[in-house]
Amino acid sequence: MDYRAVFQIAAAGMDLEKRRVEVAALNLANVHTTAPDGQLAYAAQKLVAKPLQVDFNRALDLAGPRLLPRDVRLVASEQVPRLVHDPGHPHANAQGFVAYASIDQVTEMASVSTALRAYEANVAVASTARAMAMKALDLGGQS
Amino acid sequence: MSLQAIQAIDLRAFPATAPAGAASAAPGFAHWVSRELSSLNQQLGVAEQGLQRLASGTATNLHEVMLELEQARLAMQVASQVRSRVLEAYQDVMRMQV
Repeated sequence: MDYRAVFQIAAAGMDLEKRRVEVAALNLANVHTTAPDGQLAYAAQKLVAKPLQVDFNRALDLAGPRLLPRDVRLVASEQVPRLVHDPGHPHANAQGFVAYASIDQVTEMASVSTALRAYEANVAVASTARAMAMKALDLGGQS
Repeated sequence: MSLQAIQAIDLRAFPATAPAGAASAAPGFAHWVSRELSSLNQQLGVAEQGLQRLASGTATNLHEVMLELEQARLAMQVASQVRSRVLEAYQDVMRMQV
């Protein structure tokens, strides 16, 4: 399992980046949702991941990517919802303001981009590990 | 940058590449080969299960299936290289003039 540990670690990294993209997609899909008067509008979700175990000695003994100990949580960010003046809207409150979801499109697009770069980096790591193993198989060949 | 992380890797944890001694070399190697073959079989089974999950649409992660396929292919290459080396060594021995 020693030379395969790199694949497990890269898979865990790719898993996290994929989830970040999913969370950003969820936020972007809810950009123009509104809430009726009195209810809270959609709050942007953030993915909070914390590695539980930083013991490098043990990190390479893992049997599967699902066992890579990490605390991954979805946290709703506390933000004041955007108020847009639109008295004719069915969800307008008494003052004529509609509460839209407080999502920053630029931030979400930036997190999608960075998640893609990190995913590519993990794929490069996995490919490099595979190339290393294939090269090792060439030892003593052709002679 | 501290080198403690690198020193923490216990080199004894990695399997020894050379067999222990001439007397115990043959049974040790045969045992290793049979273990590797069963591990290869397991690896191929895992890859096939991943493909089935992908075909039926129940796969959650595409990269997991791809990594399983790559590991199965790598294990297959290792097994075939081991076979080649063992055959070469055997042929070298058989070519010795009596």
